[in-house]
Amino acid sequence: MATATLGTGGPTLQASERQMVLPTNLLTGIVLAAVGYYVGVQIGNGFGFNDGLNTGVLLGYTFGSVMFLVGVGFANYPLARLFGWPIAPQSAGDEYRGAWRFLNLSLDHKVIGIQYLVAMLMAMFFGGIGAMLIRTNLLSPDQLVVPPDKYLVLVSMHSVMMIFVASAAIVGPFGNFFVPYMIGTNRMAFPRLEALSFWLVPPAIVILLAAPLFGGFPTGWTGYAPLSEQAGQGFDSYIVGFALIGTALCVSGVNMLTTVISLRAPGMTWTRLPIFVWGVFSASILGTFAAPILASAVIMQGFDRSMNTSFFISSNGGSPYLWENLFWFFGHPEVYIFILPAFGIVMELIPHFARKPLWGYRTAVVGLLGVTLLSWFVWQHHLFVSGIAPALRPFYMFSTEMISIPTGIVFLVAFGTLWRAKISMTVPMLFCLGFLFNFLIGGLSGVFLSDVPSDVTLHGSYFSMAHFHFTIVGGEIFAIVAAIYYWFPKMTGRMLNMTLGKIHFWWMMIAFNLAFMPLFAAGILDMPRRVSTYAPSLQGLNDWVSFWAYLLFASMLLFAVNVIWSWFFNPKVAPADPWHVRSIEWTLPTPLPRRNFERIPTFTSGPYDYGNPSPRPAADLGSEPAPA
Amino acid sequence: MSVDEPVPPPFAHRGMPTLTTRSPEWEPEVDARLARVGTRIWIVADVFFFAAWFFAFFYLRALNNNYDWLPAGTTHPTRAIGAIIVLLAIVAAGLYWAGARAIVTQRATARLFFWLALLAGVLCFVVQIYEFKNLGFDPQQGGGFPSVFIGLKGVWLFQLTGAMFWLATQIAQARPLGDATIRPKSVVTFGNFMLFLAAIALVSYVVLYFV
Repeated sequence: MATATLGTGGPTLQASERQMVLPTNLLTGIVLAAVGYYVGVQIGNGFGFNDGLNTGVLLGYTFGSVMFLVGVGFANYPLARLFGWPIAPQSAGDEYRGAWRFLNLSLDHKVIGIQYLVAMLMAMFFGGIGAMLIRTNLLSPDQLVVPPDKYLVLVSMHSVMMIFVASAAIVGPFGNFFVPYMIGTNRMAFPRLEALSFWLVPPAIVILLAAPLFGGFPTGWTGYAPLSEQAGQGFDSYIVGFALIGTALCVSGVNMLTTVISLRAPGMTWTRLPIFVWGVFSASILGTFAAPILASAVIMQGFDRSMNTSFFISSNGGSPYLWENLFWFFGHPEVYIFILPAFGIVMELIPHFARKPLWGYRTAVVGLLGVTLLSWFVWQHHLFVSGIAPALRPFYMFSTEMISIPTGIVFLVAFGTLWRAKISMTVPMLFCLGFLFNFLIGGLSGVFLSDVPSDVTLHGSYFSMAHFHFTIVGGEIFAIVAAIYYWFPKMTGRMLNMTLGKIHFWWMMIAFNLAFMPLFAAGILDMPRRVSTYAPSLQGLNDWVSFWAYLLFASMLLFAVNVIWSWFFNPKVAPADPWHVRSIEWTLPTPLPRRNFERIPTFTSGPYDYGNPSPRPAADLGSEPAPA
Repeated sequence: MSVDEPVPPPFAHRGMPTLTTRSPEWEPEVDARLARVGTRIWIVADVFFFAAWFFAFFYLRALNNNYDWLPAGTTHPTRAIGAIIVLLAIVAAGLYWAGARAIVTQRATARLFFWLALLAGVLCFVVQIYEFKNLGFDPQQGGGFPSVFIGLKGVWLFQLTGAMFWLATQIAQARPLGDATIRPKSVVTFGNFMLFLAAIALVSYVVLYFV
C-alpha cells in the first residue's frame, strides 16, 4: 500500500486498491463467493426454521455476495484502516493496463464506466433472450413451448433482468464516465462507493440467473404478496438481487450527488451545468432516496420467508397492501430513474447536432426537477384496481396526470431546439429523434393508464405492457444507443461504423414500432399480461408481433457486431472531436489521458453556445489550479 | 507549487509501487467537504430506509388484520431494557461527538472518548441481543407488532454494528499521521451519523414501547 503525504502537501497516490492488505482479483472473488455461499447455506439450514430452506438460500446468497466483494478487494480499505495502516487518497487511475483492469477492482471512474457499459450490454442480451423465448411461446395460443407456470417464471426473469439494466444503464456507464469531465474534476467524491455500485451488479445478475435452478419465481418484477410468500426458493433470488441493486442505486446516487454538488470546477455554475448532468443528478436524487425503501421492503420479505414474521400475511396480522405501497413508493420513482437520464442524453445531443443553443435551458431543468418532485406523489395509481380507498383515487389520478406537464416541458425544449435548426442527421441524432417519436407514444398512452375509468379496463392488459415498452425500450434504450454512438469514440478511442449505424437505426425503429404498436390493440382486445394462452382470434396479431420482435432482436445483434468489430478490430483511432461540438469532453485528446485535466479548468461559457459568431471556448483548460 | 511536481513518498509500504503526482483535489479540506455533504445525503437516504419500517408499524397497527396486531399473550417488551439500549446509543454518540472535536488539539483525550464510545456501543449491542433473547413473544407465532419489532430493531442493530466497526477504525487511525488525524473534519462528520442512529433508537423506543 502506498502512503499519504500529510498536511497541506498533495497526497501520494495509491498504486492499487486491490493490493492493500491481501492481493485480490476477480478469481479470488469468485472462489470466496462459492465458499461464502456454501457457508451461508449451512448456517441457514442449521437454524432449523420451518421455512422450506429459504433461510439457507438467503444466507447463502448474502454470504456469497459479501465474500465476492471481499475477494474482489473491497475489504482491503476498511481492514487497512482497522490495522492502523497509513491510508492514501485514491488516484485518478491505477497502474494496471490492458483488459485486466476492466476485470478487476478499479477506482478510476473511466474504467468503472466501461465496466458498467459491458455488464449492462451483457445483461441486456440475457433479458433479450428471455423476450425471444416469450414471443416464441406466444406464436400459438395454446401449443406451448414452455408450460404455463414456467412461462410466468420466464416473464419474471425477463422483467427483473431488464429492470436491473434499465436502472443503471445510463448513470452507470455514461454518468460515471462523463460527469467528472463535464463538471471539470479529476475525481469522483467517493471512488470506493462508485466501484462498489458497479461490483454489486454482477452478483445480482448471477443470483437472478440462478433463480431457475430453484424453480424460479412467478411474481413478475412486482413481487406481490401473497404470491411471493408462497413461492419457492427461486424467489430468494428476487429478494437478494433487488437488495443488491437497491444498494447499488443508493451508493451510486450518494456518490453522484456529492460529486456534482461539491466538485464543480470554477465557472461551472448550476446554470452552466450540461443538461445531461442535470438528468443524472435528478435520477440520482430518486435513486438515493427511493432505493432504501425498496431495501427495507425486500428485507421484510426476507424476514417473512426466513424467520416467519408476518409483514405481508393477512391471516397473521400483516398485509399484502403493505408490500404494494412500499414497492410502488420505490417503483414509480424507479421508472423516472430510467427515463430522466435518458431525457438528459437527448437534450444534451440535440443542441450539438442542431447547432443551436438548448432552447429554454432553465425550463428544461425545471422540467427535470419537476418530474423528480412529482414522482413521489403518484405511486398509488398502480393500486387503482387493488382495492385502494375510492376517495384517494382522484388525488392520484390528478397527480399522475400532472406529471405530464414537466415531461411535456422536456419535449417542448427538444422541439424548440430543433425548430429552424441546421440539423445534422448523424446516427446519434437519428436515435434521439426516434426517442422523441417513441416516447411521445409511450407518454400519451400513459395518460389513459393514469385515468381511473380507463385504467380499470386496461390495467394488467397488453395495453399497459405496450405503454411501458414504448417508454423504456422506445425511450430509454433508444437514448442509450444514441449515447453509445455519440460517446463511443471518446470512451474506447474507436468510431463505430456509421453506415451500419444508420441501417441499425431504421431497422430497429421500424421493427420496434411494428412489434409493439399492435400490442395496444391486443390490450384493448383483452389480452392479459403474464398469461401464456390467449384467444385464438388473436393469433395473427401475436404472430405478427413475434416476427417483428425477432427482427428487433436481430437489429440489436447487428449493433453488437458493430460494437465488437469497431472496438476490437478497427485499427483506426478516432479523431479527438469527430462531431465538432462544444462540450468539454471533446476538447480533450483521444484516447483520453489517464488524468482528466492537467489543470483544473475554468468554465467561461455554457456548453451549447452555438450560433454565436465569436463564441468563447466552453472552458479554459490552461488555467491555474483552483484552490482546494 | 506546481500541480505535477513530484514529492517523495514519506514511507513505502509492503514494497508497493507509489505514484507521486500532486493533486489538489485530494487535499484533506476537499475530503472534509465531500464527507460533510455525503454524510448528510446518506443520512437522508437512511431516513427513507427507516421510514419504511415506521410506515409498516403504523399501517399494520391501523389495519390490525385478523385482530393479530398484538396476538393474544403478546405484550410489549420491558421498557427498562429498551431505555438502557437508547441510553447507551446516546452515550456512544455523545462520547464520539466529544472525542471528534478534541482530535486536533488533544489526541489522547480523543482516543479515550472513542474507546469509551466503542465500549458503550458494544454494550448497547449486547443488551439488544439480550432483549431479543428475552422478548416474551415469538415472531414465528404471527402478529404485526412482533414482526415490526424484530425487523426495525434488527436493521437498526445491523447499522449500529457497522458504525461500531467504523468507530474502531477511527480509533486505529487516531494516531500521529493516521487518517483520523490528517482529516479531523471527516472524523467529526461521522459523529453526525452516530447521532442519527441514536435519534432513530429514541424514536423507535417511543414508538415500539409506548404507542
